[in-house]
Amino acid sequence: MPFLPLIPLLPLAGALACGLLHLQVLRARRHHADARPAEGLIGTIATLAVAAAFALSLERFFALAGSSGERVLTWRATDVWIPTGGPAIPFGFRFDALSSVMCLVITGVGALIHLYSIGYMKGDRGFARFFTYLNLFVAAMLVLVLADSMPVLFIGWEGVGLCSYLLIGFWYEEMKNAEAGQKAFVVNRVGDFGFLLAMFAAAYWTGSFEFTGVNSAVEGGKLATWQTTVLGLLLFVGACGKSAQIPLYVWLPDAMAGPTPVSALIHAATMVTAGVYLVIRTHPIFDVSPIASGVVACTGAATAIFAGSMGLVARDIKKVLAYSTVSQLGFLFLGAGVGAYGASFYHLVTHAFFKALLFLGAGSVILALHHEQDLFKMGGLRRALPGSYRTMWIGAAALAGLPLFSGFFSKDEILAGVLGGRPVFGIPGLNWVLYAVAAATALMTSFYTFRLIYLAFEGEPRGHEHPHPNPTVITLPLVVLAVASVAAAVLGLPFGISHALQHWLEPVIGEPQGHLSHSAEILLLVGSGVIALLGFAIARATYGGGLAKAEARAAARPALYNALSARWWIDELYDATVVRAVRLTSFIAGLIDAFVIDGLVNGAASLAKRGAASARRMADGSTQTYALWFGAGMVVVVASLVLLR
Amino acid sequence: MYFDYFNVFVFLTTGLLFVFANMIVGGLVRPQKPTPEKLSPYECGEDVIGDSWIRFDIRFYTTALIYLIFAVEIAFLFPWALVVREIGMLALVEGFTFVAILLLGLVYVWVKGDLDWVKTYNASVKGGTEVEDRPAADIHGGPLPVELLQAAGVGPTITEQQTKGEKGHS
Amino acid sequence: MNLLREELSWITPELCLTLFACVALLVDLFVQKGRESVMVGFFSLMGLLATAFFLYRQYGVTPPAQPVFGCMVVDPFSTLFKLFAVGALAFVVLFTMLSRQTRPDGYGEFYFILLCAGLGAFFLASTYNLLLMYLGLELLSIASYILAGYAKGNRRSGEAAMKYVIFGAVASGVMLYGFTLLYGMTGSIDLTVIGPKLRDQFALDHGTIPISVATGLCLAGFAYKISAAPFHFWTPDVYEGAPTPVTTFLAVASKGAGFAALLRFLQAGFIPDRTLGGPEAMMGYSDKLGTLVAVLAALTMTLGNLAALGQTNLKRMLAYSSIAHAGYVLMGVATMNREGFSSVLFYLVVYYFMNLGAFGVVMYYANTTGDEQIDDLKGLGWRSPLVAITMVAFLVALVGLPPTAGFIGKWFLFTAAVKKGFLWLAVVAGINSAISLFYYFRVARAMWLRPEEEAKYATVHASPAFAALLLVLAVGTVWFGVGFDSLLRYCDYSQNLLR
Repeated sequence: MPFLPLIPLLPLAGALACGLLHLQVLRARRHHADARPAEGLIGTIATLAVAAAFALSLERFFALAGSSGERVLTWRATDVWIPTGGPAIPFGFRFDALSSVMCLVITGVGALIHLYSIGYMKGDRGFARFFTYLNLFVAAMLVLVLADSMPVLFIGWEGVGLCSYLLIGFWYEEMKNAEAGQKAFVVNRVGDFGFLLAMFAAAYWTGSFEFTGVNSAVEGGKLATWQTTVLGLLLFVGACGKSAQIPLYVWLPDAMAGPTPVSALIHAATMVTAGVYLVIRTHPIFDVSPIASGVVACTGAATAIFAGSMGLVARDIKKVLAYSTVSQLGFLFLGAGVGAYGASFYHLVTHAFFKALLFLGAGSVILALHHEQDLFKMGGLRRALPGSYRTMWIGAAALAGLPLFSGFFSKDEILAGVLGGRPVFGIPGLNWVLYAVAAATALMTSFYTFRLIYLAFEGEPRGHEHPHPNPTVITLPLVVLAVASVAAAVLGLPFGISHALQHWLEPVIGEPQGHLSHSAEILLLVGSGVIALLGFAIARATYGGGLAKAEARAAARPALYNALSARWWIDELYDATVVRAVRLTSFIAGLIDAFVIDGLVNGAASLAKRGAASARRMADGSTQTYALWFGAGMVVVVASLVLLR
Repeated sequence: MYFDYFNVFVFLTTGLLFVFANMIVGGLVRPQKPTPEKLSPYECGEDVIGDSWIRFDIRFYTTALIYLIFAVEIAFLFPWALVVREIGMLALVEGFTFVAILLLGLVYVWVKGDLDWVKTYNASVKGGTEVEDRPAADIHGGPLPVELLQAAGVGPTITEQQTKGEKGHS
Repeated sequence: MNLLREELSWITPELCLTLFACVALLVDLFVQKGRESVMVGFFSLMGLLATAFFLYRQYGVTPPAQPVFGCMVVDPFSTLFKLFAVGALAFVVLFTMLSRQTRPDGYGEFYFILLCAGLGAFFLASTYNLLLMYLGLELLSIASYILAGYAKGNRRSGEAAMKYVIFGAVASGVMLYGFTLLYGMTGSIDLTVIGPKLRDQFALDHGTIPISVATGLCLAGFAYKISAAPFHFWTPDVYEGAPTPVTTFLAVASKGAGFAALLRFLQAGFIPDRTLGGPEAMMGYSDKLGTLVAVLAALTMTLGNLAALGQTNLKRMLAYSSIAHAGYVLMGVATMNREGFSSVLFYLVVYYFMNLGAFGVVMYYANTTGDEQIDDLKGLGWRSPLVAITMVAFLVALVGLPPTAGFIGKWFLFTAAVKKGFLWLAVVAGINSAISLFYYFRVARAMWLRPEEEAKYATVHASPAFAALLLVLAVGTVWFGVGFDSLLRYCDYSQNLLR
């Protein structure tokens, strides 16, 4: 299967080419400080590399679809990449139902974002460097999803982490960007630690590093329940780091310091879903262990509502989207936790489309306004940026889950999965609680999404009168993604109209667990629609007239508006409940952060520092001290050999 | 094959006892009539001049070292001489190789001028060292002043000092 | 006579090295003044090349283990370590030829002493006779003392040599005492005889106190040589004070030879026979020894890493880093089994590449600027991208991240330790690796994340020769991270035949 390794190799080659071109630019700059990279060439190479990978993936995808039986294409470089004495570590790729769709999403969305970046990064001094990293990222991400064993996945896992770090801190001249990059890197290391432990534990207990081996061992009941639980929890720690779940979510909002295409590609569409991918890939472990899957579901739900509530009040357009991403990732984990893997993956795909679309749209707005990101300073962009407006509206509708948009169906499937799926922690009642949490989150999602749309596009301009229009390279990807955001719905329509994705994934994730009756499904569907529309309505009522107009009206007729204006009512409600609750939560979280988490981190740091100081002090340069240590060491060595049994 | 540790213990204690018993018995038996001369440390039969904790010139050590090397060489050659006939040609070659390597060292030191009592630091001796044109980069703390080295008795001694004669610890 | 001649043919590498050491001295006497560095260095290189050639020929025809003169053995294990020493020496000689730090005061001597030190390492690697082991150790050590103090007139260099002599003397005395006790117990200085006799003694259950004292003392001596805590204190001072090529030699070849001797020592006397097994008491003792080494390993890597955290001098930081690495390697020794030992061999080869490289970069830097501070590396990445890129490769390998050899090497050490049941040790080592990330990263940050304008020194390019050396080492560092199959097989193989 010689095509398979080419899929990640193409972007890697692109990265190499761009890197060399970047070096050339650096050399030129030694003589002319203003030497510019050949943007057209670099952009074309990078985009074509990813597009070619997409074409290859597509070809393989159809080959896979045409094949019969187990439906999996594999490629092995070597069976014994690293002999360990125990189970050998192979190096190979596995192109099955799950990874094929991931590949298509990564390369498809990736190619569009590359195209978009040509416009977005125009004139940046680090143009070539940017595309080097971006291509490298795509290569690493493809290795991650194609890997057939945990160590190979880990290569991709670390690779995407590295690229994420490099890209968040892309404009490293500003301290806060560099710090954001470091934060992401460090937080991710915590998750990586969990993943590594999981990998070793899995190999130790199941005798295999390969997913198939581990999964079949778990399914075959070779492991005790506590072992699968430990394994599942460790894997989830890894997933938490990559996919920004509580308590490791903190890096993602800060990661918005990177250029917007990066936020779209890495921090919305692809890399952050790696955790969910990992959970689905190793789902037998979670199927067997109710504790592990329960933790996944509950953490997901908690993250969803927590991040969603933060999104309600954010003013930075990218921050709103970032919190929304964290929240939606929580949804994905919630779905995976209750065993609705198909629904979860379905939402993963649709989310990749519409969140990338929203980020790119936000990027186009930011670019048009000369890097303004404050929603309160936007407004009235509807006329100036009609393309961005329309496409973002579609993206927002999909994210909010307005009926008939893709997000509506995928989110509904997760909600249905929560009610119909396996009981969380084995306690049936808990599913209702989680459903309530998810429904509340859906309401928030709808609200803050349209709040963003209204603040940015409706009403009068606040501060920026003359945005400059966007070039075609920027609007074209928006249109394509908008179409995809709508069309992705066909992957999984309710009532068995289309279960294309679920069906396709069955070789990997098996039959869906638990079924709801048709009437229940209809009820849920209607409920989801109502929730989404309600959020939309509240947002419209609050921000529909634009920020300034609402304030003006309130000033003109204070009695009525003070009493009745939905906006005031909502604001007070905010103050009374959400804001206060958020403040309280954030206060408590702050306390926890300050005393527990910081305490741990700082404690570790100061321990290291103190240790370093004393270790250095031990070596004070005095021969006598050294001799003393030498003598003492000798006595201890001999004594311990003589005295200890 | 094994130590009989008791034997070792007996040997050790006997040895210690022997030393201390002799000293104690001697102290008890001998007459004690101290005079100032008797109490002064004995140094080559001459009066003590200054502190004994001074730095000796490194040249003494060089000489001693060369003596030692050849003394040890002789010690090696005695057993060799005993078996050289038995082993034959190979032993002869080995013996000469051994001596040749030692001689090479001697020749090297000689040519480099390290055997001269007063070493010349200018380029007159082939392979001699030039203190002056040492690049600054090799020395973290800067070159140590030559005077300091002289004071310490390890550095090059310049000719005027030589004419005044050696510093007095003959 | 014929027998003698045949046995002599087995030590051609040693003979060759000795011959060329003498040639180096002679050349220095007769060569025109001012051209010594080139000429003597050239002849030394020729000698090393010839030695490597003979070693390679032995590698081809070696029967499993060929005893020579009843006190040495030529086997794949010793050949690996000898090649290791020759390679390190070659790089050190090249570094010296390109360095300004060792320029004054007689080249012939310098190269001569260097080659003699290499000879000591040869003996350490291939002897199973305690007396010869001691002689090899002393030959290596005494040569090292002189080399450490080679920058005459430099106080730090002098201090380094002095400290090294004092501790070396103490350690070798301690070790010699351990050897004597072993001789007293078994009546032999031959490890192949000592091993079975110790086994008998264990079987008779005579108590292990004398054996414990003897091994404890020997262990302290070896620990000194490989700078394991708490016998490591001389290391930073000596490494910092000695001229950089010498430091490189000490950190790589000398430490490698120490490990070679340690492995042979342990293998001969303290590891139950693979096929026959050993008496119960011996098994227990072997495990106890392993645990002690594991504790030393944990202590060594922790102290090394913690102390490295706060260093501002690049060389001193690397000195502490080399202590920490000794700790990692000890992890493999602590397993007291075949797999662990072969991971030690593998890691040492990896260590050779990454440390030679890192010290090489330090030397380039100190040569061009006369400075060794980490913070002053600012902007180096922009001025000399090639040097900086290779440095990043070495640093990544030192941290132990893929795709470099450092990762694979650590991987084997970790798995060996975990398999033996030293999970706690693997965890400690993991935490230590994380700590090490910080100080290695500081170097990379200084080189790359500061703009060129902040650079302290004007542009000085690495000479093509120097750049080529660094590139070779960097390629090796990365290559063994990916294509390590054959090396691993060789390590396994040579370890198998160790007796």
